[in-house]
Amino acid sequence: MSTTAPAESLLRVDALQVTYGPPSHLVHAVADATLMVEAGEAVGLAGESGCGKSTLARALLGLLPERVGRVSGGRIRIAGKDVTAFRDTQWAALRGHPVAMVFQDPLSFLNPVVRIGAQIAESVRQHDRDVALAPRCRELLELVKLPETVLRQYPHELSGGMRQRVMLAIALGCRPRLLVADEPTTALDVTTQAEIMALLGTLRGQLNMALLVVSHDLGLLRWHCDRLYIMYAGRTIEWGDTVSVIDRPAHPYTRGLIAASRLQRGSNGRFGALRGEVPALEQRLGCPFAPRCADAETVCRDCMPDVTAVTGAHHAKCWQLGSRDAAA
Amino acid sequence: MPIARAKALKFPALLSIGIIGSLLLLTLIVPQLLHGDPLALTDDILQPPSARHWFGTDDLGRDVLVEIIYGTRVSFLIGCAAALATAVAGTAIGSLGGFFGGVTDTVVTRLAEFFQVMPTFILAVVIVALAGPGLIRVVAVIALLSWPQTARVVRGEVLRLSRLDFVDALRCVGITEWRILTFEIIPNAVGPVFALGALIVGNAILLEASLSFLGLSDPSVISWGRLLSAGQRFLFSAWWLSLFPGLAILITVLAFNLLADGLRDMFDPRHAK
Amino acid sequence: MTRYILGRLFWGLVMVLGVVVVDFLITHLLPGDPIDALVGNYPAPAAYIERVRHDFGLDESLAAQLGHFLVNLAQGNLGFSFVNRQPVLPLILDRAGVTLILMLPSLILASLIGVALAVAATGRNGRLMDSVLTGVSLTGHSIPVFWLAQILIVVFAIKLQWLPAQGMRSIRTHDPMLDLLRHLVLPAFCITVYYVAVVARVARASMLEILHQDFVLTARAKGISRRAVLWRHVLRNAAIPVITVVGYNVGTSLTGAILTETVFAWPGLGGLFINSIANRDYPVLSGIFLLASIAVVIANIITDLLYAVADPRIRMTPARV
Repeated sequence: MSTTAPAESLLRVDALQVTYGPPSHLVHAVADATLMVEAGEAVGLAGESGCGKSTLARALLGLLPERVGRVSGGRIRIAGKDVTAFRDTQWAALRGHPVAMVFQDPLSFLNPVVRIGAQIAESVRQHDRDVALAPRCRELLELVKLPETVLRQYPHELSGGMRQRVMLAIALGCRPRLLVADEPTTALDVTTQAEIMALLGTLRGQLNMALLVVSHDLGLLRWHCDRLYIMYAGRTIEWGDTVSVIDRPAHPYTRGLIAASRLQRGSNGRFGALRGEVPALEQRLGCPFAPRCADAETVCRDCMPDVTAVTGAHHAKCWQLGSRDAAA
Repeated sequence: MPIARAKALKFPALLSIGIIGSLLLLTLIVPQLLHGDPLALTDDILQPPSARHWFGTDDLGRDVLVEIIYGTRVSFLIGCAAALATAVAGTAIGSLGGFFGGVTDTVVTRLAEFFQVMPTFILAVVIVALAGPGLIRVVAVIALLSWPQTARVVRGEVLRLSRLDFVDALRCVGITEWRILTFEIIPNAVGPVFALGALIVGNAILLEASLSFLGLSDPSVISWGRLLSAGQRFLFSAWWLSLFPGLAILITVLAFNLLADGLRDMFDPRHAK
Repeated sequence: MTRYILGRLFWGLVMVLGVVVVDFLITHLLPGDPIDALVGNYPAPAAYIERVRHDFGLDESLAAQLGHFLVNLAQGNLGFSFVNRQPVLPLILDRAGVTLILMLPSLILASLIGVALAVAATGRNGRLMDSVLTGVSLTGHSIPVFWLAQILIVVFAIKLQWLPAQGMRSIRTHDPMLDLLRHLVLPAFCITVYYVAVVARVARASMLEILHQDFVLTARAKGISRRAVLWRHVLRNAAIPVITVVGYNVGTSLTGAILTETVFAWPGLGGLFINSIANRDYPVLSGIFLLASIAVVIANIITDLLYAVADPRIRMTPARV
């Protein structure tokens, strides 16, 4: 195992596997995920729906569905501590601080029968027992730019954007060092999306907090993240600096994703689309992308490619990459 | 979860079918095996359970076990007839509300709510007390009091189905509303009615027993409730008069409730655990 | 909120009117002549029967009788019990109080036990408690309450002699309160069993549903303990269907109370009801039905109001699905 580095990463995930379902119908939602987040940085995790990115995000807080999902391999380290085998009570001590989370649909993720104020106060009280509640709540609302009046309101009385700000306030109330945002803007309209993402960026600087944004929208992540991870069929298949990944995508899947996400137009002037569909989440040999890959060879279908360095911190898992290096 | 669910009856439901089946067999076979008049009065008055009279005898010297077996007929007959009547009435009313909507629907829902909220047993007692007992009247009263549950479920199903595209497709090819309702929608909506039907059989048996316990049944017909009513008179001296008929009710109603649970799981996998 | 309350009150009024009409129709249209009960089986002269019929207004047209009925009702006059030689209303109210002594503690206790069972089924030994809950609930739904009452008397009063078998008070006692409680235990248990079955089932189902809702994840992501999630978030939401089922089953539990009272000779509405059936005392029967219905309607309105308190979303929309 890796020795404790002098400066431990805030979050480090190695070869993580998450399985769902009973042994007879085992499904690998996450098959091999690697992820690292340093203090204060903004990291994006991108992939199509069903690729396991939300499962991965939940695993980071020990919030996998009980009796259904479990971590079956690899390890998660948070602030230098191996938390892979933590029990729920141990996880509870980590949730909120140092790792907090905001979710996709801010209406269903807020308790419908409890006032906003009480829901924010609950997270404050959980992590700062001695702080004066009212000023702290006002401070949090100020951070997420909401009027004080929402404290006395219920979730159904707010707009989607306001609810997402409430979710943020709840998460910030825990004073997180890492905020995991699972599709934070998917349920919102485009202008509100931009506002929330801008707010996330501001808060990150203001509070010196790291950010892990999970999204299917590469275009969104591109502008708000320092580094990117691309996930496909339960595996992280490419990662590196945002600029490097977007400008010089090494994996054919990443290239397809970029084409599909309208960051660039194809030669015929039309937006690209990925052929085929994400394969079912079962484990098998070979590169999971091979069935959809235009350049797939025999080796791609038989063996899983290893991690190959593209440049410095930019890595990808693709046989084409290796053979290209070999040819050079 | 893409895990296939076996859409078969689970063990408790199968067990309940077994219980109900054996009770039916007993009612059909035992009276054939007994010689003479099994319900004739004898001198063995209020005998406790023994090898000769397994469940003891009552105040007229009749064997309680034989009486219970005879009582099964009434209970099953009333239970099934009431469930059938309820299912028909509930399906008809509920589907009208769900399909035609508007004022019809409002009337149906409000009427159902009204009947569900009223202290229906008291109403049943008042009606039977005034109109006099009798199989058909008791069945009618039970149906009158239990249709709303079925109607509400059917209404919901019909409402859901009638919003599906295939209904519009049928309209486009000129099929009349009534035909769509009776031939396309109702057959698809009645699944849950079977589960409710089993539930209502159980409830009807309980209701009938309660009415005859209060003396509101034909005194010449033996029924479980009437046996318990006799048991009440001899509560302090002959416990067996109460214990066994009540057990028969409990087991039978439990069987129908288990069956209802099983059927519901079968027709609605969302409820399956 | 005001609109919601007014809407529910209006609907309650409509229900009461409906009950009045149903009550009038069954007592006046169904066969069975109250004169028989009034005069008894004596071979009374026809002239006497006619006089009695006239005295009680039974010779008027149906519409006129309905008119009288409504006017009397508005004045709180439910008629006169021929059998008890008393006005119906005070007679029933007197007995209803005694029934409440039995019902209220049972309902409160049953609601608490039902919810506690459901909470236990979400805990560490959830599987086991789930089976217990299913068993209790199925049995509670299937057991004839009057039989349960008989068995309790046989076991606890006759065989073990721990508790009194029947009645509400002993003739001689040192401690009247304790005496009442001792008389209360068995009948209250009977009513509780059915109600626990109803509440536990609904509470379990709604807690299961709530536990899988997204906001539970938010609460857990805050780092609060499993127990706090349960108490602060799950129970509060699960309370809504529980309140509904408790309130809407008041009518059913009244039935249970009446049957239970019969077996335990509890001097409440049950005994009055049974005697009235035996004596064909129609004014009392219809009065009990009427008052019970009104009580149920009131219970429902209270339920709807509590519902609005528990669920802020309902305050916005007057219609309930």
